[in-house]
Amino acid sequence: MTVATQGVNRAPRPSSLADVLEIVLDKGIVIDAYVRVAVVGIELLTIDARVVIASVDTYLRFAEAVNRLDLQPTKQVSGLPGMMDEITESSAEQKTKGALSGVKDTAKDVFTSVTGSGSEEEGEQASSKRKEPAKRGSRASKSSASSDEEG
Amino acid sequence: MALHVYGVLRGGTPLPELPETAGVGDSPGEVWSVEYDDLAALVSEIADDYAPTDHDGARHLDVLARLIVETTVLPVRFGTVAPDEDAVRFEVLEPAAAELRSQLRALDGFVELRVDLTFDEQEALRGALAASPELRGLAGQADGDLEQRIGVGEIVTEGVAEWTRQQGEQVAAPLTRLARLSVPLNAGNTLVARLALLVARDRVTEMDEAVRQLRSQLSTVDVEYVGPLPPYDFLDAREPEAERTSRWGW
Repeated sequence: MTVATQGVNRAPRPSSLADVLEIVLDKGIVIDAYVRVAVVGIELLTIDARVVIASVDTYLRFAEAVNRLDLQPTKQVSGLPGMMDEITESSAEQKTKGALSGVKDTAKDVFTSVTGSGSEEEGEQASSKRKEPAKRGSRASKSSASSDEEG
Repeated sequence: MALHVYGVLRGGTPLPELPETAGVGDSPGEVWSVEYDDLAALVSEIADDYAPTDHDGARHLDVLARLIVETTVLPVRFGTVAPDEDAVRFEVLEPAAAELRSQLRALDGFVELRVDLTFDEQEALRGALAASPELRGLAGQADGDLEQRIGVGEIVTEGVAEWTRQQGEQVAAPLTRLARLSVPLNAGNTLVARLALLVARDRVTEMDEAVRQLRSQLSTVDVEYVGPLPPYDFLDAREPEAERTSRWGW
């Protein structure tokens, strides 16, 4: 970042490893239901728990914030000409829930996926391997679209 | 030895210079391409007992991100492994060849850029309250037991998430205008509006400039700007020609 041609701060990939994993584990073309090709997974049990804890933590934080919030500056409040009157609770709710179940699904999905690819066990593993990619394959057509659609 | 598959690109594409140890695994190796007909898959060697780590996930993305700077590449789901080159040819490329070609055509010359707009919590909270009498009615109500507070917090959080989404859409308008397609993504954070943009490779500098301007205009919003990434969020994009036709094809 010394003599950059343009002064734009653009990172080649997300700085957080969680965001990187969200991309590479949840998106991308899935090779489904073949005999010798498989998808091996990372164990991500902790992510599931972390998401639940994080959301409760957020709820409590906002509950407290709205309690503390000084609602006096009504000038400012009424000054915003009701520009978002039509907040649709249902869509927000859907979004949050969708997000949570989406991540859960991923963690579970990943956890149950086949690990290792020992060629010496090729024969006995072949049948179990075949099932796993098939399941992922059925999700694939969806997940290549917007992730918001899932859940 | 087995092979780890990174992505699919057109056959005959010269690969950019990658470090000899760019691959995934404990003893990372060279990345090369296995060709089938007019298609190619990027692979590297892995040990038979390869168990991917989060670090490997980052390496996988780094390889693809290096490629997408210069050429169109379709990312394959991380962790896809094949025993040998023939399995890559006949189980990865051949069965999906028609679809892969169509995806490559549809995304030719385009990259994905991502923008995270992180809003100020107080501003978001005030905005959400201003927009909703119901939320304003909850002020001072979160004083009961844990369950009650979580309940109030959940409603407020949803209101804030909606505010963030709408603000994000407004604020990012100058960016989405430069993109062929854009899609909001869930950032998993109530205060973050995340957007994926499908942008022509030769318009990335225009986008850079638009982001720079946005940053200088927004004092309370943090703008994280990432890419170019492979078109992860646009793999179902149709060829531009088809897009145009369908728009008027009613």
